[in-house]
Amino acid sequence: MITLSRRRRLVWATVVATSLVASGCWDRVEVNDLAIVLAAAVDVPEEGSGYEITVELAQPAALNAGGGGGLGGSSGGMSTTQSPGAILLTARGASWGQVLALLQERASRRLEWSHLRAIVFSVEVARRTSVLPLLDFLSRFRQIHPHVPVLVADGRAEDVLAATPPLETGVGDFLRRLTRQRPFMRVPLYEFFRDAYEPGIDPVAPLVKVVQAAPVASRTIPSDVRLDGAALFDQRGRLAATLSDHVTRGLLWLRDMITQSTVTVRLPQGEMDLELLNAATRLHAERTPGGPRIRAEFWAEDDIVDNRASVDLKDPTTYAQISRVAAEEVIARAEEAIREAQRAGVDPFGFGQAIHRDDPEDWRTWQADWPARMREVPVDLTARIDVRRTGITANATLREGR
Amino acid sequence: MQLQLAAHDLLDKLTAVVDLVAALRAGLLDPRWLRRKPLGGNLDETLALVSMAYENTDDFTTRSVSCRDGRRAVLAFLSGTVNEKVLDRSVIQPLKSGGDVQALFARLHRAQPTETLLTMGDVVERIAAGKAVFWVEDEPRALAVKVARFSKRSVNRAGNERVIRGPKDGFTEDLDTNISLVRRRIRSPHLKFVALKVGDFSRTEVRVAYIEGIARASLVEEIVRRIRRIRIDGVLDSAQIEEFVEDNPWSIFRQSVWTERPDTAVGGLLEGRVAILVDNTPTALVVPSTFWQIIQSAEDYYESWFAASALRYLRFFFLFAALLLPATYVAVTTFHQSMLPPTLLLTLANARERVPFPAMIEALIIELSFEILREAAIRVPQYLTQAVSIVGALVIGSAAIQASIASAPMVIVVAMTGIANFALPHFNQALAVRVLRFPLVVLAGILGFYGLILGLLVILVHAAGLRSFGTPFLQPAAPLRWRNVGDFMGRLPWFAQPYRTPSAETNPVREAPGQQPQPPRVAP
Repeated sequence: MITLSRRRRLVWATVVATSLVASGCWDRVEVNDLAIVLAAAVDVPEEGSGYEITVELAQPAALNAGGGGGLGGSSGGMSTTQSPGAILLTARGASWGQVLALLQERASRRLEWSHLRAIVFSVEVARRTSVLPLLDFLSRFRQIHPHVPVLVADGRAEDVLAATPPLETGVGDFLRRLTRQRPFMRVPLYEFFRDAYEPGIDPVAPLVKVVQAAPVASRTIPSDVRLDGAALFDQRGRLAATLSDHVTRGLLWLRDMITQSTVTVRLPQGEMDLELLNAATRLHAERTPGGPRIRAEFWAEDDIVDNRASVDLKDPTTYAQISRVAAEEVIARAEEAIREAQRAGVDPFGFGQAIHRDDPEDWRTWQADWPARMREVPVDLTARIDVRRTGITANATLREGR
Repeated sequence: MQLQLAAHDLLDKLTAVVDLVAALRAGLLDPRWLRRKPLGGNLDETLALVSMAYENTDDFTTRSVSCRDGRRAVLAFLSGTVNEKVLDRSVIQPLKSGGDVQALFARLHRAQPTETLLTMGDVVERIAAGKAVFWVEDEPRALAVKVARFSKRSVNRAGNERVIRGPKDGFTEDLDTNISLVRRRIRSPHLKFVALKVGDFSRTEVRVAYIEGIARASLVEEIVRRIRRIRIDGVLDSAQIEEFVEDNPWSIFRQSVWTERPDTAVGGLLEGRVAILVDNTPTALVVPSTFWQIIQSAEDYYESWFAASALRYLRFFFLFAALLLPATYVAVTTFHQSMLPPTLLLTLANARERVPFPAMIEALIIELSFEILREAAIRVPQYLTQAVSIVGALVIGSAAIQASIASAPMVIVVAMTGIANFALPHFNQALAVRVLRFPLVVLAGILGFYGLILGLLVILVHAAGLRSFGTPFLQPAAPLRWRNVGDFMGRLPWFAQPYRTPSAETNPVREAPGQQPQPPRVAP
């Protein structure tokens, strides 16, 4: 036999004992004992107070029902009312913590939040009460990942979850993928936290909306979830304003979040479309006798995707013209966004942070009543758009010498 | 009268012999005395004693020959092990025709590998070793002639360590053949074979091979001392020697490497290692060994260094896959679900939906079925292997999943683990990995990653504490030896790795510096 000294035996016994005791031994959960939460929607109940929270749970067993097998392979079943891979569960309570307990009571499996793909607040939650207490819970709950996108539903949030988006297994998945598409705004939870708790910038979130589409053919889906505009929050976490999709562009420019979009340029000869390849925004604050002044510089590289104006793209002077008009367009969008934000008295662009960076002394005096000052802070906008390429042809539809 | 006297004398001698044998039988005489008893020149006494030693030995044969000078001679051997034709030609005929016995001894000695024996014990033992021994009346010595004809097989391909490029020959059971296979690769007087015998009954020949001037002298001494220490009835394979001489025999890791490839053994010798060749063993033990030899194959040195290095890194990955894959799977699916990509988690949940067992039990079931198949495939008669593999593929691969005994991902994981284990070049170390993955699965199933890391730490601490004939088992990784890293995970080209393994401290540099080939400045 292996002979161990008394000391060694003691060491081994200690190692084994502590490892068994310290580990919370049998807290294992099999994957098929989990109810995987894919999306969560927060509503205000129609009567009474508190919150009504709806979760979308994955139903793995249903994934390969229908004979086809394989994940998401139920192409024929897409037009049914309920997406096949997920079910909904609702509970009402005074706080998120209470609702969570209630939800757990109703689910036969342990709720697993680590794979949450989207959090949707209804616009009513944001309007009536603050979202900050909800965020406080989310920032403490260890299972929720800080990269989860935050959205605001224009209407009831549970309606968003009840929609049947095409291609994906559930709404959570759909929303996550949709916010990943680059023309849209993507606000992960950590960014929302950061904007909510840092002075000099206010949080924003994309607006999501359920559109009832009239069935044109059997393959059209009856309801459709769309990203449409943005919600602006004030410092207390209440909804301050909503922006239309068009104005949201300007917000994205100012927040340096724009990476992909199409800009329509109105030349005297007609319209043309440019595709954004690369963009950057810099915010500066300048000290003037009347207080700080914000200077925003946009820069972008664009390709021409469409020449409806039929301008001669072989002529170098055309590009200067296109650039100038495109820059004007970008500035116009940004101005619209600034106007709306100033009207609501919020700073979703981080102008306050820009002043803090460039002019800390003034910021100290301005910080206290920044929302009021924000309403009238002057902003200078400059834009430089470099038009790079014309696609794989220059003047395809243009007859020479015309 | 003369005749009478001679007859009486003979009778006297005979009774003395009979008494001696009777005394030995009755236990009045110590057998050890017999072993040391010098040959007295009494032909009949010697014959009686030898015959007694070979009582109930059917193949023990004696021949009486009358020499030309009238003296009698007796030839004793075991008929199965001696080539009688050669015996007749080289011993019996010369005895009959030769004149002087002294001259005959001398002539035989020149013509044949012979040995002069002086004690009874030697005579008995040499006969057992397959030699023919003869002694002549009134000569106080005997002569052992090597005319052995043990059956042996020819040199075949090394079946278990196959290479595409490189020598194909493998060791056989015959020690002399094996020595010649080593010798033909090192034609230097510095190649030494220390001859030892192990086993009270088997008297198995053992050779400790090393290259003088490369291998540390103290290492050779230590190995020889450890082998000399062995007291056992018989040695059937070098595996027995291995367990008697290792530093940490209770460890799950073997601290020596066996090889059936003479080139691998010689490669070890040139690196300052020592090879232990044992008669009747078609493999050589090469010591000291390190853990990392588990990812080193003979072919690494014959194929492109770049590909060989890549393969070594790949095998390093296999090593961890073979050890950890099922345990990682169990830990992740039962404790750390948040680490999985969402889609993968859904797929796994879907696959496990109808499986009644916890992942750990499921893993053990599939692992066990795989091990059963693996064992059965070795034991089953060759004609039936196909049947076994069909049953295995159907039962484990498909029916178990359809019956929801196991999930498809688990079968994939176990299959990958098994294949990764097969990809490790050294079987004895791969066996340790094969066994160790079971406790790791259990640990992972109880404690999750915490248990997995705990188990890995225990293995690491244990392996780091091992020594193979004084060389740290994890060298050159721990302790780190930079000069040997070139031949550790990767393999640098020959001209770029001039150092032998750390065990060859006395003579660490194996080649002249600056041998990297370059194109000539002027075209030739």
